[in-house]
Amino acid sequence: MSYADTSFIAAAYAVDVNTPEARRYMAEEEPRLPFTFLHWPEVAKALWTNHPAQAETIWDELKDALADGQTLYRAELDADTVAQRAAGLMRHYAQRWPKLRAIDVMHVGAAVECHAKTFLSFDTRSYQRVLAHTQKLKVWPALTSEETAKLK
Amino acid sequence: MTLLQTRVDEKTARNFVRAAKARGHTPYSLLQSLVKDAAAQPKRRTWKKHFEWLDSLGIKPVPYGIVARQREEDGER
Repeated sequence: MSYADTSFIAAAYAVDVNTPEARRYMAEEEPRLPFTFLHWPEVAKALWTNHPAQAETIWDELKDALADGQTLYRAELDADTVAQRAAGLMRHYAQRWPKLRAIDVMHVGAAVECHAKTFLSFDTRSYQRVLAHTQKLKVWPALTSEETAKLK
Repeated sequence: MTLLQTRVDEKTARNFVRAAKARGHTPYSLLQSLVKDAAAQPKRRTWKKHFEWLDSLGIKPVPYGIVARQREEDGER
């Protein structure tokens, strides 16, 4: 089971540099991805700041997909449980990686709570994917050399 | 109507006749009912179809990763 960070879901609903790669992955795997309370505001911002003319249409399509539950589904996650898990990750890693952001640990915490095996994310310039790797999640696309260096 | 006049093997035909009778149908009316139900099923949503739909919007791609950039611009350090 895979968990997709907002950077991955936004690449499938908006159109950015990562959309072709997201498309290839989706075509091969046809994953059914959890959509959590963390995704809503980030996807909304992605659509209304980058594709304002089409945002309403895409938003309606996203909600239809969630209603169907075939490509995306609403994950039954308790926000407080995710936040507490995220706090635990932050306690453990904040001193090692001072630039680790709250949103990154929240998504990794949500992935772990969803019992995901694979973590899909294009946010290579943060510590999110590196953190996911430390939690035994298979990160896709694979960690870059810069990210691997952060593990040392 | 030729749509429902499909040839099947003897065993399948016998089973189908028995199933129709058990449900109070004739074989023809059961087959009609099954075809009607199948046609009424919602179409399967796939990522492949989703991306074809996204293409149809003709959106100009933005030359950066949207979410990575918006998180950086949000300024949490």
